[in-house]
Order: sequence, then C-alpha cells, then structure tokens
Amino acid sequence: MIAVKNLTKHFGTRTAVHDLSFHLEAGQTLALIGSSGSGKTTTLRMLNRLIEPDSGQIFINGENVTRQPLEQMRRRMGYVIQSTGLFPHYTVSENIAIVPDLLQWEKSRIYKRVNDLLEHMGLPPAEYASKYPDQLSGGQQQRVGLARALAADPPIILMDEPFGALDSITRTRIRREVLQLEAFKSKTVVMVTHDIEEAFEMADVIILLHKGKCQQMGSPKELLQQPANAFVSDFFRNQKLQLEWSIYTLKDIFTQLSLQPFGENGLLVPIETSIQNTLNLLNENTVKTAKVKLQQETRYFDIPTLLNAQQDLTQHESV
Amino acid sequence: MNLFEFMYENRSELATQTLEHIGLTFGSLAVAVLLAVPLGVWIARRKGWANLTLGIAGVLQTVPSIALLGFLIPFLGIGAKPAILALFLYALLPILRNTYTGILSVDAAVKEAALGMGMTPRQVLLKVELPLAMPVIFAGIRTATVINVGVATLAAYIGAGGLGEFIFGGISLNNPNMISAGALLAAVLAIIFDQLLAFLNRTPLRRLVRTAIPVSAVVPFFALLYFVPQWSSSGLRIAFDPEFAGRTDGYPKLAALYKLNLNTKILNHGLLYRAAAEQEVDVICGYSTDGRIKAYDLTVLEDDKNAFPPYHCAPLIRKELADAHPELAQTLNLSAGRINDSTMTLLNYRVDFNQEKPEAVAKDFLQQLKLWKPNRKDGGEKLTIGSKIFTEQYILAHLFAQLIEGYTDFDVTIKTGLGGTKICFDALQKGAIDLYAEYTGTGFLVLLNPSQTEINQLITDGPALYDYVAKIFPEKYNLTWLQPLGFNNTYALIVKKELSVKEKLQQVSQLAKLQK
Repeated sequence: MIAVKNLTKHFGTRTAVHDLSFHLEAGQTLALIGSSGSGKTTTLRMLNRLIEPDSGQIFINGENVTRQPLEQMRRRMGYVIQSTGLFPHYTVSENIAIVPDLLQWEKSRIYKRVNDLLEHMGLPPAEYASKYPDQLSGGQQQRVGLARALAADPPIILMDEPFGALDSITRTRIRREVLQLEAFKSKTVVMVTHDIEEAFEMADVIILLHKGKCQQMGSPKELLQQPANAFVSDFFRNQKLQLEWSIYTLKDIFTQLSLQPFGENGLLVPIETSIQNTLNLLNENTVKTAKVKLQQETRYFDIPTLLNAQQDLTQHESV
Repeated sequence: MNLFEFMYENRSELATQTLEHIGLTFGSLAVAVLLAVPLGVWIARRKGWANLTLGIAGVLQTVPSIALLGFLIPFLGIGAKPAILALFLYALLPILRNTYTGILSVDAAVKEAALGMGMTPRQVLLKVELPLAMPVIFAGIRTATVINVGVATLAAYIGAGGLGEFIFGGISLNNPNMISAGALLAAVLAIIFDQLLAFLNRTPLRRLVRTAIPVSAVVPFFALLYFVPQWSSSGLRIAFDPEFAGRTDGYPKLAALYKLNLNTKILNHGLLYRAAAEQEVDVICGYSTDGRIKAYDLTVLEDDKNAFPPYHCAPLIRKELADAHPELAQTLNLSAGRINDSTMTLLNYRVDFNQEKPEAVAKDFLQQLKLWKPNRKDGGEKLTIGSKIFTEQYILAHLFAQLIEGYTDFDVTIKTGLGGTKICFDALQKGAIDLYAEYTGTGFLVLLNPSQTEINQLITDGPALYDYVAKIFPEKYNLTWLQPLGFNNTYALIVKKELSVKEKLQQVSQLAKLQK
C-alpha cells in the first residue's frame, strides 16, 4: 500500500530524516515515535508532500506520489493534526464536507455522509451540525477533525499527534472510540505520536526514530522484547511493565501458562483482548473476576492472578 | 446669522459639496482596496518584498498633501483625477498593512489542514485566508475611510470640490460660519462612515463574509455620487482662489458689474497659474504683474469696466526727509511712469523664473532706461529703504536704492522682508525706514480705513484715488506719496494667450458672450 524508499530531508545543515525506508500493507497502522526533533512529523508531512523530500521515493499502490497531481493525491489521504485545524468560519458540517466538496460530490450525498459520520462520532447532527468549532469542547473538536479526515472515505489516513491536545482521560476515551469505528478499521494509517502507550495500543508496526534515523522497525512486541540497540531498550525502560500489558493478550497467558483455576463466574472477555484492555474492562464494569473461553473449556480469573501470570510470562519468554 | 441659518441658506451648495466629498472619498477608497488587498496578499507570500512595499506606502503617507497635489498637476491636471490619486495614495498604507497582517495572522494549523486536505493555493486564499483576515482588512479600510474624509477637504485646493470649498473659503474670508458648516459636515461624514464600518467589523465573522459582497458593491455607487453635481457643467472652465471667489470686491462685484454667471471652481491660489498653463482651466484670477503670467504664456484681460480697485504703485516717503532733500523726490520721480504692467511682469519673471538677483535686474532695467549711474559718494548721510516680502518689492527697493546712490550723496541700506503692509508702514512712521513702495488701493483701504461712501466714490477711479491718498497722507501721517511708477498691481482675470487669440478675448466684458 505505502512504500517508502531511501527518504532523506535536510533543513539547512540539519538532517531531519536520513535514508528512511519502510513498507506498509493495506489496513495496517504505522506509528512513528521518537523524541522531539527525531524527524517523525517531517516524515509524515513528506507522505502528502507538505514537505518535499530531498531524495528518495514514496509509492502509494505502486505509484510514485511525486508524479501525481498534488491536490488529487492529497484528497485521497485523510489528514488529522493535533490542533485540529478546523476552519473557524465553517460550521461543523461545513468542515466535514470540505473534501467531498472539493471532489464535487452531489449535495445530497454530502449531506448524508456528514450526518452519518456525526452520528458515528457521537455528535447528533440535530445538535451539532450547525455549531461552530469554538462552541465545541476539545474532545468534540478532535472528533470533528477525525470525521473530516474520514469524510471522503480515503484509503489512507495521516495523523499528526491526533489526540495530543486532549487531557489524558479524554484522550484514552476518544482513542478507544476511534479504534472501534467501522469506518476506521479498514484504513491504512500512518500516525505520529509522542505517547508510547498510544502507539502500542493502536499500531501494528512502529518505527522508532532518533535524529532522523530509524532505530528499529517492527511490531510493538518486537521492539519491546528484541530491542535492536541500547537506544531502543532505554527508550522503553520506564514504561516497560505498562507496555507489556498492551502487547500480551489473554491468549498468550492461557496458552503458555497453566494457571490455578479461580472462582466460578465473571465477565466474559474475548481471548484476543490485551491485558491492559482486560483491566480496563474489569474496571469499567466494576467486577473483580472474569472468564475467557479457550477451545473446549472456560477459564475463570481475577486481577491479581492475571498480573502475576503476566510477570511469569515475561520471565518465561526472556529465558 | 447663526451657523444653522447659514447652512440652510447655502443648503444646495452644501449638498453638492457633500456629494462630491463622498464621491471623492469612496472613489479613491475603491481604487485603494482593489490595489492594496491583492498587493497585501502578495507581500504576505513574498516577505522579502514586504518591508520595501510597506516602506514606500509609509513614505507616501508622509508626503504633505498639498505638495502631493501640486506635484500631480502636470500629469493629471486639476479636478477629480489628481484628488482621487492623492487620496488613493493616502488610503494605501492602512489597507495594505492590515491585509498583510491579517493574512499572516491566520492560524498556521488551519492553513496546513487546508493544504493537507487538498485545497489548491487559490482555494486556500479565497476560502480560508481572506475570510479569516477579513476583520483585520476591514479595520484597515475603516482607518483609510476616516483618513480620506479628512484629506478630501484638501481636494478643494485643486478644483475637485468637496466640503473643503467652504472650509478654505471661510478661512480666506475669515467667515466662521463658512468654516464651521464645511467642517461640521466633514466631521459628521467621518463619524457616520466610521460607525458604519465599525458595525460591520463587529458583525460575526461568518455573516461578515456574506456582507462583504454587498458592501463592495456600495463603494463604487458612493463613488459615482461625485459626478452627480457635474452633469450640469459645461462652457468655459473657470477657477478662482477661495479669497477672490468670496470677498465682496472680488468675484461677486465682478459678476454684478459685468453680469456674469460663470461656472466656477475653487482652486488653491498657488496652483491657479499652473492649472491655466496646463490648460486645465480657461480663466483664473491672479495679480496683474505676477511673473508667472509671462512664464506660463498667459495674458491679462482688460478690466474695461473698472471693477477692481486700483493698486498703483508709488514710493511712500517720510515728509520731513522729502522736504529737507527735494533732490530725493526729483531722483525717484525719474522712474515715474516708466514701468507699465507688462514691464513689471517681465521684471518679476526674471527674478522668479530666471533666478536673477533683484539687484541685477534693477540695474539692468535702469541701464536700459539710461538712468543708471555709478555710486556718487560713499559715507554720506544714511537712508534706509524697506520692502515687504515679495519679489516685486525687492526689485523696487533695489531700483530706488540705485537711483538714489547714483544721483545723490545718500548712503542707502535696504531692509527687505518687513512682512506685510502693517509692518512696513509702522517702520516708516517710526523712522526705522525712510521710504518703501506702496500701492494706492492698499494705502486707501488698509491704512486709511475709509467709510463705505468714500470707498464707493473713489474705488474705481485710479487717478482720483492717487490724488486722494497723496492729499490725505501728509496731513494725517506726515508721509508723502511720490509720483506713481505706472503699473497697477491689482486683481486680474487671466487667460492662456492662445485662448485669447483664438476667441478674440481681450476684455472682461467679452467673457459674458462666451458664457453659456
């Protein structure tokens, strides 16, 4: 879907991105992470050519983006930024309709699409369609920004710190809502974030950048368990436990470890759920025990059992 | 008469001037908006040019308005064109600077989002940057409008009309009602337009974008108001300065005597001759011995019905001195009757336009008359000659001095630049100077403060007026008028020589035939 070859960009004498190559399948989510100035935003903005690379190529569906008409190319990519960039003089529905308008959709089609999206985003059109951005809360603005990016149903979404301007509770909530959106699930997504947890929760592939160079590319699990160098392991050190909660699923635990059965009832959790999300689910439902279905049997567990099991698993895998 | 009575009485003129004023303000504003907004957008894109462009607009802003208007006459003549151009130049800076600032202050994230979604640069400008910069741009237009309402009063200096006609006419004629009427209406216009634009500025952004379109249609409409009063005008183009147009012994008297009903414009005195030279107007008022008549190839129309008071020039000397030294009167009377209007005009021209020294011009002239003699004696009795501050007086002072030094033993010093009539006259009475060149009309009207009956009796008859002042001054002030030099420096109607030849126009009474 997206293939990047030997991408390099200098700003004056500073190298922002150095010889970066990667490949992303359709439907995958890539998170670009790294400290400030690592080149992650520059990389993202080269994908829709807001910044022109000094050298290297970008292919989308096998086509070189520099050979495509700039505006048409951008209209096929949703673009979400931290400060939303909503037009203050447009209403919510006018904001969402921008790209469909540019693509000259029928009025009735635009109207239907905008209303559907607002409905899905939890912003009832009757109440929100004709509001202006400054009348919305930060979280609502961010949702409108996302709806705007999804409006013309582009196959690719680019997101630059999409939840960065929100407080941590709102951020977690909106992130979950987004992940559950049907409209979002099929997209190929490239996102920039400084929130490592967010990257681990959303991404299939992570690229850790430092001073414009790729330190490691791989799945969250690979980065955490098989760091390519000292920089990578240092980068995750402080959050290691927390991050492990998002990479291990109940399946990892119950297929690899034999746990003492516990209790006889509890909340049913799908087996692919991460430990982090299982904990969230239990918290949200204010229950202490849960059950998970393996092939034949049903297993029951509580929170302490789960956390102990995860520690065992870490040791088990690192042996 | 109080102000409101005055305004009611002159309501049709005031209405005309108000329409002209609005027309000038909005005509220039429309041009300024059309140019400054695109230019402001352009320099917001190319910041390298911003300082230079804003700098030039800033410099234009500091050029004194009257200097700018004068500078434009050779290119654009007089009337609406130079006035609108000058007003346009003054409106440029606020609109330009606000457009530039407005465009630059659009949130970078909004612009980035617009580009990232696939808007073309043109769409970003029209749909994002201009609408968001609109309140700032509007504030600039508002500033420019108020500036223009004020500066447009100066349009009266170059025959473009507007409320300045009453303001400057009132100043020249010392008529407070006239000044107040013009100034009051100009102030009211400024307040109305300011409040109107302030109201638009306060309307929410989204509605403002929709109102911007009708507003931009209203501006040219207001601009057209300028031409409403002009539809009726044709025939000879005539321009007077505000003083001549207003004072009772100026145009009103002329019009009554010659039965004239001319379509006149008001023009700043300093610009009248240029306007006639550039053939922007056909007839102007002026002074009969002005050097510019020669310089610009103009000619004076003969005042065949003696409408203007005579201002014959003669030396005015302390009586004691003249009596004690009869040779002084004899000497100065050598030049009596030797200088006619056109001679004086030529002498003035040589100093004003050929940059010759008054001293040299006086000597050259005396040599032509074969009257010049070298200085007879140094270190004789002292004698001081005064002069008011204008060219003609400088030349005459030197002429008198050279005659006296050549024919008598006096040692002459010249005090030039004694300001106006009153200063020279006081200096003469106190003995600070001994003689200077004075004009009969001035001596009569300014120094003797005559009654209206005396004025009516004497004012049209040149020789009788001279006889009258020559008789009264020795008794009343102990001063003696010597014999007149010959020329009469009075008000005159002046036309381009070509026109005079073409239309066989030599006398003021012939104007009546040419009027429509």
